[in-house]
Formats: sequence, C-alpha cells, structure tokens
Amino acid sequence: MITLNANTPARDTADITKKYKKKSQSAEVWHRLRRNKAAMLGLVVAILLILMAIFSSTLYDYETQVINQDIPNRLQPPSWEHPFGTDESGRDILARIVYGSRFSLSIGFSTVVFALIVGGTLGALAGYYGGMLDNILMRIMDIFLAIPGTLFAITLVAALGQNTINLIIALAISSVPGFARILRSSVLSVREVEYVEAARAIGATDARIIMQHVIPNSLAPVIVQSTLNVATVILTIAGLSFLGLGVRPPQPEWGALLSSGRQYLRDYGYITMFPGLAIMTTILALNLLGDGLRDALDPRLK
Amino acid sequence: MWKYILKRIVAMIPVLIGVTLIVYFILSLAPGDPVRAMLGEQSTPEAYEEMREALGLNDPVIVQWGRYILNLFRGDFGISYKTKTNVAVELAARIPSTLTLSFFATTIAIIFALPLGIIAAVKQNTWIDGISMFISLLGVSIPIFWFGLLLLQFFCLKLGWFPASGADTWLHYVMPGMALGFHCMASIARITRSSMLEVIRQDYIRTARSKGLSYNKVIRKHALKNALIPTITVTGLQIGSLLAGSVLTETVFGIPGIGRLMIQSIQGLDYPMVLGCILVFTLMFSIVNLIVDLLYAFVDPRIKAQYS
Amino acid sequence: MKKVQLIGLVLLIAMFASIAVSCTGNAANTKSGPAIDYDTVVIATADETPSLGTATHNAVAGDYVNKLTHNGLFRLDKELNPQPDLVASYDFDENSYTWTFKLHPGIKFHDGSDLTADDVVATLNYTKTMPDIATYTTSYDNVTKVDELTITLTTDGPSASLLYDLAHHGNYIIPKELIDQDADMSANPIGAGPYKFVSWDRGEKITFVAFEDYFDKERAPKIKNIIWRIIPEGSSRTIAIESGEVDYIIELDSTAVKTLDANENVTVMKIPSVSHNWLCINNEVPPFDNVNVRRAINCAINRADIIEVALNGAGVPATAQTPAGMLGENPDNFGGEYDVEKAKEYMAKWGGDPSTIKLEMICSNDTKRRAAEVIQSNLKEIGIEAGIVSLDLATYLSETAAGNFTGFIGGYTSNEMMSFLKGVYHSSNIGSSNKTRTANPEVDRLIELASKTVDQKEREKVLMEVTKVLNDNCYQIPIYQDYTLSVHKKDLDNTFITSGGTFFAQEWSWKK
Repeated sequence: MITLNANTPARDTADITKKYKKKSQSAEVWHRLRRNKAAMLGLVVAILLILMAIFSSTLYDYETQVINQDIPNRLQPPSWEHPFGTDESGRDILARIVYGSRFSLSIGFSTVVFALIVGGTLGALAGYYGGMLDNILMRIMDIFLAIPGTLFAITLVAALGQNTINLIIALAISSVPGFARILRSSVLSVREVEYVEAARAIGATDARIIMQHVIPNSLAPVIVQSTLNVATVILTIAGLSFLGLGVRPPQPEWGALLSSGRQYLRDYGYITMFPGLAIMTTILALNLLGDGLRDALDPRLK
Repeated sequence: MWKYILKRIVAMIPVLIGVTLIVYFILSLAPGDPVRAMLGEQSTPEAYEEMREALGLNDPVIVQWGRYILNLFRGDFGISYKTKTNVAVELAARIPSTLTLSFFATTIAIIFALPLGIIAAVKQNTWIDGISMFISLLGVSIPIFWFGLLLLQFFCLKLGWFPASGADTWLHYVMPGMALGFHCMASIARITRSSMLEVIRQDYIRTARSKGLSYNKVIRKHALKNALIPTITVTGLQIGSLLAGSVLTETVFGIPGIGRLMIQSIQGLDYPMVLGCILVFTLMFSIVNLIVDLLYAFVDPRIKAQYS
Repeated sequence: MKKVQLIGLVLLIAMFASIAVSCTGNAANTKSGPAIDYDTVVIATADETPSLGTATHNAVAGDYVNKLTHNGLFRLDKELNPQPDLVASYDFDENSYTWTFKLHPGIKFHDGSDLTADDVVATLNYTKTMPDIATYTTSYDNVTKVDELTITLTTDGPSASLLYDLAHHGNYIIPKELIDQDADMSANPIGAGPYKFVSWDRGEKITFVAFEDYFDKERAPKIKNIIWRIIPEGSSRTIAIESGEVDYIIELDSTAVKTLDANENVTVMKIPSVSHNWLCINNEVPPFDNVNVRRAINCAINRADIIEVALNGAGVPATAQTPAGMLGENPDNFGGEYDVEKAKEYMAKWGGDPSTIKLEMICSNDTKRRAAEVIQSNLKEIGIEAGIVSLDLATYLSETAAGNFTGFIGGYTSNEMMSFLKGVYHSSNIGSSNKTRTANPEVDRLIELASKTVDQKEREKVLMEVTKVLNDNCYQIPIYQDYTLSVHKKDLDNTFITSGGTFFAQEWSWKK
C-alpha cells in the first residue's frame, strides 16, 4: 500500500505523490478516529487542556494570583470567590491548577520530545546501519530498559539535584529506549523495501533516505507512543513530587499540589481533590486519545 | 528448552553489570556526602577521614566500581553505610514483602481486567464496551499515592475492614494490592479485549458457532484460551511498572519492601543499599520477562517449537 | 479449557476472600473500640532505627530503642538533669579530677550474666573507638576497675558534660563478652535495660518484652510487650491510631491535631520544646556578611504566618538568637517584630540592590518547605527573590556542614544553653554544627568563660551577655520553637515528654 509510487525517479513527482498519498492516508485515519467517540472525547479534552495551558497567563497573573500568599484566607472551602477553595497558604486552587497545566503539560511534552529526538536518532541509526553499531546501541538500550523507569528517574533526580531541567532529563532518559526500539523496528521494516532501494540506487544520501522515507513511515507508532508517554510522564512527576523530588516550590505543578495537600486530606479534602481530578482527567484523555489513535492507525484492529 | 533458559540467564549478566556501572556513575554525581550523613553534624574531622578511608570512598569511582563488581561475583553485595549490616541480608528480609505485594497486585489486576476485557470484546462497540474500557483506564489515570490514601480513608477508617499499615497478615496486602493492581489493570483489559476480538473473528470460532454451540460456550471453550497468550505477555510487561509503583505504594501503606528501602537508602545516601535494591529490581524484572517468554511457549505449542 | 476453569477458580477464591475479609473486618472493627490488649503497647514512628546497637549510630530513632534495652551509668530525668542509673553512688576528687563510681549490686544482663566493673571498663574503652558517637566519648579517660563494683575515670578539669555524656545512648553498658567476641551489636542488643529484644522485622516492626530481672524495681516496666511499628507516611500513622491499630504515635503531623483533638479515644500531647528553628544564612557569602541585610530579613519575615502555615499553629515565635526556656535567655535587641518598613530601612542602610541577592533555602521536609514558602513570599516584599530547594535529610546535612549553601531552614535541639551555644555559635564548630559559620572572638571568649563559671548566677549573667552579642549581630533568622506533638490512646497512663522530646516507655501503664 505504501509502495505504490516507489519507482518514480524524479524528485518533484515523488514529493507530489507522497503528499497525495499522505493526505489520503491521514484523511482515512482521521475518518476512523472520528468514529471513535472515546478517542474524540480524549482529543477534545486534550485540546482544551492545551488551550488552558497557553492562555493561563491571560486568565491569571502568576505573581499576584498564583503564587501570592494570603494567610488569613488559608484553607477556605470552595466559594464563588474561590471556586476550588484555597490551599494551606491561602492561594486560589483553581488559579494554581489552571497555571499548573502549563508546568505539567510542558514538562510532559518536552520530556517526550527530548526522548523522541534522542531515542529516535539512536534507533534510526541502529536500524539503518545495522551490524556492530546496532548491536552496541541496542545492548546499551537493553541495560536502560532493564531498570524500571520511575526508579531510574528517582535515582537520577536525587543525584543531579532538583530542578525542572534535571527532571526532564531524568524522565526522558528512561523513555529513550522505548522510542529507540520503535524507530529501529520501523527502519528495519522499511530498509529493504523496493522504493528505498531505488532511492539508494539513484544516489540519495543516507540522511536523505532516513528523512524522506524512513521517518514518515514510523510516524504512526511514534505518535501513539508519544501520546501515551506524555501521560506516563505526568504521572511519574506526580509520584516524584510525592517523594519530594518534583518541581521547585512555589511552582504549581499538579503533582506538587496533590502531594503538598495530602496532609490536609482529612479535613480539607478539596485541596487534593481538584489537582487529583485534573491529573486524572488529563491522563484519561491522553490514554483515550492514544488508544484511539492506535486503533485508527492500525486498521487490522478495526 | 533448558539451553534457551541458560542462554537467557547468561545474557542477563552483562546487563546487570551495565546497570551497576550506570547507577554508580549517577551516584557519583550526587551532591551529598555519605560519610557526613552517617556521622551527623557533630563529627570530628579525624573520625570523618577515618570513615572515608575505611569505606574506600577516597578511590576513583571506577576503582570503587571495579571492587564492587568483583565482590558481587563472590556474592558480596557490600555493607550498608547506614545499618552496617550485610546488604544481602537486608535485601533478603525485604524481598518477600515486595513479592507478596506484586502477587496481590497482579492477581487483583487480572481479576478485574479479564472480565472487563472479555465483556468489552463480546459486546464490542456497545456502551458496555465503552464503559468497560473506561473503567479499566481509570486505574491507570489516578496517581497511585493519592488513590492509596483515598483507599485508606475509606476502607480502613470509614469501614474499618482492613488494617491501615504494616505487613503482618495477607489482609495487610489487600489494599496496597488494590492500589497497585488498579494501576496495571488497563493494559491487561485492553489487550484481552483486542485479542478476544481477533480470535472471535477466526474461522474455527465461526465453525464452532455453526455447529450449533452456544455463544457463551464458544467464548469459554475456544476463544478465551487463544486470547490469553497476548494477555500473559502484557501482564508480564506490566511487572515493570508494578515494581516502580511499589515504591510509592510501600511508602503509603508502610510495607517493608524493597521499594521503600530504596527510597530510604537514596535519602540516606546509603549507596551500597541503593545499588542492591536496583539490582534486585532489575533482576526481578528480567526474570519475570524470562518467565513470560517461557509461559508463552507453554501456552502456544507453535512457539515452543522454536525454542527447542 | 483448563484456563477457563482456572479463571473461574480464581474468581471463586476472590469471592470467598472478600466474604472472609468482610467477616474478619467486622471483628477488627470491634477490637478497635474500647478493647485494649493490656499486655501490649504499640508505638508508631516515622523513622526506623539504623541499628539496635548502642555505640554504632547517632540517630534519635535509635536512641528511643536503646533506652528500652540498655542503661547507662547515668540517665536524664524529666527535667533533663543527669541522675545515677546503674550507679548507686559516685564521688569526685577535685584535686586529681578523678571520678569514682559504685555500681548497684546484682544487676543482670538479659542473658543472665552479672553486670560488673569489667563490663563498664570494657564498654567505655570500646565506645571511645566508635566514630559515630565520638563527640560523647571525649570527656573521660583512664577508665579503671577498682573492684567488682567500682570503677574510676578522669576528666580534663571540672567537667559539667561528663554526666550528660555518660547518659548518652552511645555510652550505654554492654557485656564485655560481646565486645571481646567482636559480636554484631545490632543483632545482639543485650543490655540491662527494662525490655528485652525479641525480634526485628526490617522496615516493619521491632518487638520487645519486659525484662523480669530488671534491677531497678521501682522503675520496672508495667506493660509486658512493646511493639515498635514503623509507618513512614504521616497520614497513615494518624489513621492507624484512629482505627486503634497503634496506641502511641511519637511524631504526629500538625495537620492531624485538629481531627485528633476532637477524638475522645485519644489524647494529643503538645509539649513546648527547646528546639530552636531558624532560617540559617551563610555569613561567609556576601551580602549576608553584612549585618544590615541580616537584620532586614529578620524583621521582614512574619513569624505568626509561618507558624500558622508550617506548624498549623503548633509553636511559638522565637524571641532571641538562643532558645527561650533555658538559663540565660535574653530577648534584648532581637528585632524580630514583623515590620516591612524597618526592613526596607535596613536594606537602605546596606545600600545594595535587593534583587541581586541570591538566597536558596534548602528544606528537608514538608514543614520546612511550607515555612520557606511563606518566607519566600515575605522576602518578595523587600525585593529579595528567594528560591526553595528540597533536599533529603542526609544530603542536606552534608551540604550544610560543608558550607555549600546560601540558606536553609533548620534547627538545633539541645538540653541546655551551654551545649547549644557551643554547637551553634562557637567557631571551633565551623564545618559541623556551626552552620552560619560565625567566627566572633568575643562570642567564643564568652562561651568559654561561661563553661568555667561554676556559680549559677554568674553563669546566667555571662550567658545573657552572649545572647545579647548574638542578637546584636543577628547571625541567623530564628523563626519558632515548635511543640513536640505526640498522641496516645486515652487509657495509656503516665505518659510524659521532656522539653527535649524524650519519653519514658518503661513508666507507661494502662488504666483499667
């Protein structure tokens, strides 16, 4: 199905046909995705969350509304003024959650992008060149894969010190092997296909072949993996926050809100309830979307 | 078969050595000073130097690592900085708790996930399908420690059904098992559903149906067995996230397992203990993967043929 | 097909299990009510001891359990004064600085052997070789056996700290036999204490049983068994006492006080402590070497707010650079009243730009983190952008001791003013407990003068003088003295906590 126009040698024709082919393919995926109600729900929620993250600074002022303390008004139950109540230092929980989407989502996304770039490159190289390089890279990946991800992140954050960059690095490293494996196997499956051989025959460089043929073909599993991975990362940060290894206060990352409110669980349940629900909704949406995408991209499961 | 197992076990050794190297490297970057942590703030400089020398911390990292590996091959995991006991002894005391917890979590995950997956597949594309999958996803979406605390509030305090913490009896493991098991339920339910779907469409199921067997019977007698293979694999793969989740679960429920030991050791800069914990986790993970592969062969004769 | 049956079986078991659980659950429920096991007390704590040995650690969690299994020559009483324990009588020769101790006759170790002068000599020579407790073994020397029940030792002049040192768990007496065998002290915690060690389930619980041959009949334990449960998560500990699983919690979360105060089955104890908590700033790092900057911060922070947020009200504001409630307390010229305008004046006196100040506050737990968040917000008012770093306790200790910090939230607990001053402000402790890295010859001189001043009144004068100098220089930013928060079942009697946070489990009994 993909090799339709594999023999077309001229570059521009190849581009045109590829565009056409891509469009029809993505149109079909979109069509399938649209029929999946759960996935669409996930998509809508995810888009809303992203919009919330983008516009949080227009909705709230970070200095005066998100991190500014108001001790006399601490631990207020939900009211008109504070729809989600206030936390232990009198900060509006709704404002912190809205702003928190910025921290949680951006850490989630940047971690995955980082892991994708590093893992993807390594996997693509390993798959494309094979042999010794493949062997060495994949054995190293095996080692990283053998350590459960969260444990690795815990150790790394504890060692490197606690700040957002280190957090991203720690979380990304444990996601790298997953992406490397995906890219490697899709490269392997594409490498010997006729049109790639053809491209090689007319003297296309390795880089060009990887960029133009290999990567587009591995997009499907990568998109699925990325979506699910963002979810995992957001959950892992929450866990790290619980262990005191998350973002630095007073940044309103969701896991930090949840974890710092846990001592008030008994008497002031709403302090943890709303951040908890925010995390839950996000993970649920991303999982629904990821699962839906997987179904849509893999017609066999239809 | 045995040859295959042996080969796999031998292949674990370089991976484990690699793991120790990586962890050693990471720990060497850590800012804290284990000796200062051990002796407290009132220590004298002489005592401090003496202790550093005694622990071999003045040697280059690579030398320390080499010594560690050599000792490891002799079965010596080193001495804990904090408790001054043999790390292996300490680990051995903790492993049963973590294994019991993992067992409970896996069992609970399967008990909930299988019916959800099967029902979803049988009632594909109905609201039942949707609800089942939604429920299975809820577990993976809740931060484990929060869920654990909520369970504690409800079942221990409100209802008084279960003890709040400790590891005396199997009752102590029900709630942590639930917190952790729910977390792993989603993938198992999902894979059960999709492999059931795949199986249901196979010819032999249609044949069985056309012979006049009832739908329920077909599902029970023919479809389930074949659909189980991928389920086993995924359950095995879940062990990884289960082990990671055990760190949080053990902390919330006060279970004396490896996960909690590891956190305490990281916080106490007890490096030999941290290494030991990570090694045990890695080993458990690798062994489970091996078992999964073997089970796989056991359930599906076609795969078994490849190994021999 | 077999698989299907297997699943059926598993489901069946699960069903039975849940039924069984709900039955036993009900039973447990009734037990959690008034029914108390009068032979046992279950103590819950956050931290597990690193060792059951006495001389192999310097941890508070270990001190608690050592107190059960072992005795020292001396012990600290409820007012934190040293009292003879294993010692029946003692004598001090002022000319030769020689101390003579006479042991009680007939003291038995848990293994049945007699505790004699040989054991004391062996112990005190052994503890001198142990690095973990080196601070507590420097005051004495030349430990010698005179007869079966008498020993002598010497000190370097008149020493007030000797008896305190001998009351420290590091110097608790252990059998000579174990020392000679080079035994694992943690695996054989044999002492002459009121409780015998039974078992240790790592990470979970430690069990003790009363020692029938305990030498001090008046202080013999009244409850037969003690189970020491380790529950790291604060909210789980609170739930455990509410559900009746545990009888006593050593460290109660301040957030739980409100709930438990309303619970008629338990008693919450709020004991004002001598623990002095502060924002410590590294005086060697500019601009914190400037007294005006320090004074500015001192009056820029709102102590009442910090106590409210960090301790949920369970504490009192600090009144000086040294703790209140000790000999020589002195609030003169402390300048800690919350006053933003005054803070700005001090900043103006310094003349620098506050936004250039780099202050990173290290916090090692949730309470400290909450305090730091309030301080962060307070300091913003005078233009200082402070950061917060969470480090776990061990890393925090080593970082602060080495001086790799600008600031941290910390504290110091001491039983009396002399050791507090020596530990926190004497220049000889830079690199260990003098975290501000204060090096003031005048302070050093006064501290040494006080240690040589025997007369109580004279000494108080000198101590007040030191505090005054410290207040003038404002070396750190004292915040609060918190309450020790513990909780126990209402029926547990004779519970008492010292201002140092120590309790005496051997004196507890159940009201029947």
